[in-house]
Amino acid sequence: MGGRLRRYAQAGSLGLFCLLLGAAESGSFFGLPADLFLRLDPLAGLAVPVVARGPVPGLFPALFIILLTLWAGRLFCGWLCPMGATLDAAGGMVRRIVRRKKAETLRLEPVLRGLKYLVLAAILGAAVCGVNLAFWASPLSLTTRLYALVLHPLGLESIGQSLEAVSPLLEWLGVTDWLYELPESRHFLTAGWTGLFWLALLGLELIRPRFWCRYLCPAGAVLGLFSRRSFRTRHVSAACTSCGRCSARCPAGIIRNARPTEPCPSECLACQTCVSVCPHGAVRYDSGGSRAVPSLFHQPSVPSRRAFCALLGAGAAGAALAGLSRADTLRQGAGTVIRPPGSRPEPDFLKRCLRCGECMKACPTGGLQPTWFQAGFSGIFTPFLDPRSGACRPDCTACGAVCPTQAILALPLTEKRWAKTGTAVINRKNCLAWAEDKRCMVCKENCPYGAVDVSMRSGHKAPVPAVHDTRCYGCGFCEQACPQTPSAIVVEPVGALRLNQDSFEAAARAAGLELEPSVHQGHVSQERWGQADAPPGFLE
Amino acid sequence: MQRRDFLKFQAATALSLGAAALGFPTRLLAGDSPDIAVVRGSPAAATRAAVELLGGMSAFVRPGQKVIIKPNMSFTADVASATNTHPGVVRELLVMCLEAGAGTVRVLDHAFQSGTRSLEQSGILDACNGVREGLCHNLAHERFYHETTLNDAQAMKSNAVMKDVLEADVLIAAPVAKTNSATGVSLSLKGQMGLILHRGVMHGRYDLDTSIVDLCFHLKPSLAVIDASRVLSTNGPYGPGKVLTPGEVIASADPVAADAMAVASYEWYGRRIQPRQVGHIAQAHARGLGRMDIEHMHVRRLSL
Repeated sequence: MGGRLRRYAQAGSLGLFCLLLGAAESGSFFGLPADLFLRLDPLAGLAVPVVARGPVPGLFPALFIILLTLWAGRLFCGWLCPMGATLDAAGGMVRRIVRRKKAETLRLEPVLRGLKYLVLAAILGAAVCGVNLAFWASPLSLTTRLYALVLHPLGLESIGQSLEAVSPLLEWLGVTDWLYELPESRHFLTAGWTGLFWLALLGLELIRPRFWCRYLCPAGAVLGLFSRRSFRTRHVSAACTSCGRCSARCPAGIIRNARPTEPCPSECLACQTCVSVCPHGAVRYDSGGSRAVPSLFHQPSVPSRRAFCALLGAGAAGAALAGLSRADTLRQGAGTVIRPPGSRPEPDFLKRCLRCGECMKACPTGGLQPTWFQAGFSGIFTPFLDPRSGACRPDCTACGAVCPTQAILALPLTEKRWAKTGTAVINRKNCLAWAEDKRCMVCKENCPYGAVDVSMRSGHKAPVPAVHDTRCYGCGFCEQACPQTPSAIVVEPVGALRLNQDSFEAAARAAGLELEPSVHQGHVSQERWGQADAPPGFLE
Repeated sequence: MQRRDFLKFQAATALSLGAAALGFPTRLLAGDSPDIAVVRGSPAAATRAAVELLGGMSAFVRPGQKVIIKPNMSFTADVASATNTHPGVVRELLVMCLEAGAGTVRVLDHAFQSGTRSLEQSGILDACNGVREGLCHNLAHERFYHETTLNDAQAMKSNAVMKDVLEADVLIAAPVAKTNSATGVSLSLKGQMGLILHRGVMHGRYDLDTSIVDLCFHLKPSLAVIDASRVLSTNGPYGPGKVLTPGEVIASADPVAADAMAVASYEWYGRRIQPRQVGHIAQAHARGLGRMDIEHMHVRRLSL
C-alpha cells in the first residue's frame, strides 16, 4: 500500500485525464465525459454554484470527492488529482536535476499552510458577492489549461518539427505517406502566461515538494476542511521508534520528528507513504482508534484567532474584489468579443466560466482562444472565437458539450445552428472589391450560410460583397479567408444570441434570422442578374 | 513543356501501336481521337468512356509514373449541392490510373477548411479509400508546399506549390462544373488554385485572371475531366444555388478547351455564355496555353 500503488493510481489518473482531454473534440471517451476531471474539482463545485446562485448539475461529481474526503481524508489530493500527479512527476525531475541540501524547517511554515485557506476565503468571499475568481486557482482548471493550451500544442509542434527534420530520411525510406496523417499544430494566446505560471510552480517544488498543494491550493483547503474528521486517518502504534523515515519521506511534510504520532488530517494527502516506509509496521491508515480533532482551527497550521481574522480579511478582500467587475468600465471590453455558440448572456457566462480551456481544446478548427483583456478584466482567459485562428464549423457542437459549468450550453445541432455568434461586417476601405475594384469574393466563396451577396454597384468595376445580416451566423469563415491583412471582413458580436435556456431556434426565428442556407437554395440570383449585365464574374 | 510534348508523342505512339494489340473496342479508340469528348451517362461510366474516347488512360499515364488527381473537395456539402466533384468521377479516374500502371496516385486539394471534414462530406474520401487507403488528402500545412518559381508568368512569378505536384509526372484536373462570382466559372484552370499554399495573393496582389493563367502555365493538367453530372449554375462556388443536371462528363487533353466546352454547353445564371466571356479562359487562349475555339475543334459526343 502507499508507495507504488499510489504511483500507479496517480499515473492512471493522469493518463485518463490526458485521454479524456485528447477526446475533447468528440465529447466523451468510452462513455466518460471528456470534462470528467473538471467536474470533480472541489473548489469549482463549491464556488461556482455560489456565484451562479443556483445548482450547477455538471459539478455534482465534486460532491462525491467531498464525500470521499469525509470518509478517507484528502485521497483525491494524494491519489487522483492530475495537478498533484503532474507536480509529483515534474517536481521529482526538477529536484533530481537541481540537487539541494536538505531544506531546514521553514519558520513561516504555519503561516504558509494557512495561505490556502486565505485563497479559499478570498474566492468564496468573491463568490458570495457574485464574482467568479475560482479560475485563478482551481487545480483542475489550471491543469487542463496546461495540458490543453501548452503541452498539447508543444507536443504537436515538436513532433511536426522533428519529422520535418528527418524528412529526407523518410523520403529515402519511401515512408512519407504518414506525414499526411499528422495532426495540425495548434497555437493558443496566453499560453505563455500559463507556461510561466507552471514554471514558477516547478520552481517552488525546489523549496518544498508539492508547494502548491501544501500552501496554496484552495481545492486542497476545501478538502482539508472536510477531512478534519475523516474516518480513515493515520495511526501510529507504540512500536514507533521515532526513527524519522516517515518524516523524511512525507510529501506533505506534516510528520514532525519530535512527535510522529501527532495526526494532522487536514494537511495529510492520504498518500500513505508513511505506512510503506515504516520499518516497524507501526503506521496504519485506517478507521480504527480515536479521531479527535474537534476544533476547526486547532491545527498546527494556523492559530485559531489569527486565522479567523485572516479569513475575515480575506472575505472582505474578496468582497472588494467583487468591485473588480466595475473595473471593466475602465476598459471597454464587455461585449466586444465573439463568444462560442450557445454561450450564456455575458454576466452569467463570466459567473460560470472556469477558463479551463476544455472548449478550446475541443474546438476542431482551433478558433476558440483565451482572451487577455479583450473581454474586460473579469473576462480574462475566457474563450472567444478568433476567426483568423479558426472559424466555427456549422456541423459542430463540441465546445458546449465539454463545458463542465455549462457557461457554454450543450446544444444539439438543431439548436446550435440557430445560436448566432455575431455578424460579419465589411470594411469597405480595405476590401479588395470595394476599395480596389478587384474581383475577389473570397468571403462569399467561404460563407457556409449563403450570407454574402455580391452585386454590381454603380461606380465599381467589379462586383462587391455585402453581408445579409439575418443570414449571417458569425462563424468567421469569411474573416479567416479574406486575403487582406487585417481582414476586410470582420465578425462583430452584433446580434449574437445569448440565452440561458436552449430555445435558440424560437428566439432566432422571432428575431427574423434565416440561418437555413438550404431554404434560400436557388433563388439567390435569378432576379438580381437580369439580361442587362453579365452575371457575376463574367465579361460582357 | 518538353516533358508534356514527349508524353504526347509517347501517347500517340502507344495509341497507334497498341490499338489492335490491346484489343480496345475500335468504337472508342479511333486513330483520330477527338480534341474533346463529351459523354452522357452515370458519372463513373461517363468518365471512363470520355477518357477512352481520348485514347484511354494509358495515353496519359505510363506505368510507374506518379499521378496527381485534383478534384474539387473544398466544400462541406453533399453531392447534390454540386459544389464538389462527384465521388464516382474521382473514383473512376483513380481506378483507371491504377489500371494504367501508375506507380503512385494521389487525390489532393488544398481545401478552404483544414481537416478531412469536406473530404468526407463530398464523398470523395470514402470513394478513394474504397479503392486504396491513404491516397486522398487535404494538404493545409506549409510543410507540404515548396516555394516555386512559375515560369512564363506575367504577374505571379512564384508561389508555394504542393511538393507532391512538383514531383508528379501527370496532373489530372477533375473539377465539377460551377459558377464562381469572381471568375465567372470555376473549372479545370481555376481549380489549380487548390494546388498552392497562398491563394490570397491571387485576389489581392495580382490580377486574378492573369495569375490563374500564370499558375496553369506551370501546373497545366495533361488531362482535364470536368464533372458536369451536376452543374452549379448560380451562386457558386459554395452555393446554395441552382443545380442543373446535364449528366455529362467533358474530357480533353487541353484544359482550356475542356473549360471552354463546359462554358458553352450549359446555362449560367439562366443565360448562354461564350467562352471568351470568361476572363481567364480568354487569356489562356490568347497566351497560348490552350484553345477556346471549340467550334474549330474535333468534338465527339457519346450517350451511354
